[in-house]
Amino acid sequence: MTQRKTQTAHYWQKQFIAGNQDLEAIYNQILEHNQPIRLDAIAVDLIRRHCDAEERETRRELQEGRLYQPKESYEKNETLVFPALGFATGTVVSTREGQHPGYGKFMVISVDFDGSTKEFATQFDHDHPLNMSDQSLANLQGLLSPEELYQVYKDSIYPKLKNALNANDDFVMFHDRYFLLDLLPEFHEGLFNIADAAIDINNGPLSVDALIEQMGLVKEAQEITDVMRFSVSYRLANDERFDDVGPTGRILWYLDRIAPPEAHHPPRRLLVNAQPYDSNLFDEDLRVLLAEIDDETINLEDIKPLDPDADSVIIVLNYPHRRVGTLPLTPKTKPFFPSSHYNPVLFEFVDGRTGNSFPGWTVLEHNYVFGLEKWYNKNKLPAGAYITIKRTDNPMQVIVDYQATRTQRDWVRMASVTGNKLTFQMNPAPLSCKYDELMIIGESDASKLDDFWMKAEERNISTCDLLCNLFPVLSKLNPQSTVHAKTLYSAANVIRRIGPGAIFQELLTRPCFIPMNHGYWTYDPSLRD
Amino acid sequence: MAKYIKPTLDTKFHIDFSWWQKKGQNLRSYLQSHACPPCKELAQDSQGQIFDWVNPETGEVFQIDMLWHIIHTHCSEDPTFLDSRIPLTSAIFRAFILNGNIPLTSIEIHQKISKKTPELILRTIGRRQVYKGIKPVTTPV
Repeated sequence: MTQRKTQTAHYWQKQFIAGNQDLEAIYNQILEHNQPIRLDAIAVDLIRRHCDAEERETRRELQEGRLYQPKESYEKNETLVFPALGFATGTVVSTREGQHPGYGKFMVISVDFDGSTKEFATQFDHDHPLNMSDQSLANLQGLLSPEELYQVYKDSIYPKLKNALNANDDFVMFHDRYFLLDLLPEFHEGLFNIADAAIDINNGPLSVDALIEQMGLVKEAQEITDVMRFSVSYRLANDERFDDVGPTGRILWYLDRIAPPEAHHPPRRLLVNAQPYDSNLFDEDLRVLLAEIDDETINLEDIKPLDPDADSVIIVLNYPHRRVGTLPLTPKTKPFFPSSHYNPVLFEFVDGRTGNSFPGWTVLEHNYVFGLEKWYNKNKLPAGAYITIKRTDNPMQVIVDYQATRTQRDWVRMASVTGNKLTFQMNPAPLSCKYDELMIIGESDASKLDDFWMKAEERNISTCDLLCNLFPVLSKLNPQSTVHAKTLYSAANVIRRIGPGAIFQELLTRPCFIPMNHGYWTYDPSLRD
Repeated sequence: MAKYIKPTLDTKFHIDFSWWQKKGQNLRSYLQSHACPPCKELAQDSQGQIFDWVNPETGEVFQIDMLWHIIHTHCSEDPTFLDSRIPLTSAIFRAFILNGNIPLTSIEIHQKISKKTPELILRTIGRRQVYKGIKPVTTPV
């Protein structure tokens, strides 16, 4: 039996396009339901239609024989298809009465398969797998169901279907749910001025239901329909004054003019020139270090899975995030913050020291949470400080804390710009928090460092040159003249947003960097290539 | 002759009644060796009787000696029917009598008869030479 095309990767990945017939069927599907439909559901239905079409075709190929089921009765000369015999077709040549001491009487047919004859039970209305109700050929052949096919080939089907629907003016979309433009109700433009004012007065986001009520579209909240929610949300999403800032499953409308620019545009300090790396090249020491560093550029498979029930997580703050008041979204931190794949999410940070709350933004698209600059400054937290993130009973409130100590003067790696060079010196500085000694970076003049960072960005020197420049100034701080890989990562990020994977790869592939034990490295300028 | 495909631990086996028909061997005589004394007594009345056995997967019908049904119904309650002292091949045959000849893998057979190992069972019934009709399930017509 030949393999069905709808069961193959080739069909869904190469051949399939959502054509006019598909779009017409989807149009009718939405029209029939008169409800917005999720793209996933549309896709599964589309796959089902393709599979059904092939099923009909396959049946035609099987000479339109009836599928044999023991419970049915068949006539002489009738052609049958036998699913449990590799879909062989045969012709009924005779019938007789059969009997079984347990089942009683039934009929037996003799079937001719090109010269050989076999007997089969008919009018046999007892438990038998072939008597099951779903007797499509696809089911009997043990083929993947449309739902299973979608799971397997979603990566190909989803974007193709989405692009086709988005390119067609008949369909409108909000949060991956599709509806028909013709079915959208008309709204007076003034209603959206009311929505704007309502959010402004509320001084915070409003749910779509609250806005519908404020806009006077219903008299009672119970009158709000799903179509109304979709229609209003669709209109708001296409009005540049409004932003959806709700987490997945919740739509909360806010005003774009109130939202900070960082809700949509990542701070320049965080922009990474993504350099791929291969952790298979790393030794055990580097792999452990990679998993320890909290950096959004690290590949998912290189990070130890976090206990999903953990109530808190501790991360080490790096310099770029410290400067712009953000935290990285990594597999360790992501579960603690409300997020959405569609939009930035507005939530509340709760200060673990004071209980005061202040706004935070989860920007999943760029892997950071924003809103901590004032909190970092108020608590004088350096890059390298341990930051604790804790859950609360309210998923829209996240506690942020640090490990406070009595203020003491510790020796800190201070970054400064001397002449046209970035330098580091060990200087005593007052600190009142616990920190990672290998990662801590202090600064005496942040604005000078910013200028230097801007110039370094413009010069765009290679990672190797960057590390070669840093090694001499960092190795002077250590009597052994070695530099720890974590320290190198932390220092490099003062002037370049760069992930630890890219740095470690550079260390491994350049002969001028020589590994010592336990994550420490030395540098031999004579071996620089 | 059908092409021999080496069975694996995942291959399902059953008693192929057509093998008995083709070989002209007397299934009743062989079944007698598996019948306990009460079954043998019951079987005396069924001498010459056959019934239509329905394949639990394909719906195919074979006319089988009534003794099969007597052993199947009577001995299924008898805990000594799969006694550890009987030979492995007999135990395998009996496992199929008890379960109504529903196809089983070597692993499943081992779970039922609790004798030897699945690998040894596979080596025993997975050979080219068919023992008492116990064959891999195939779907040829």
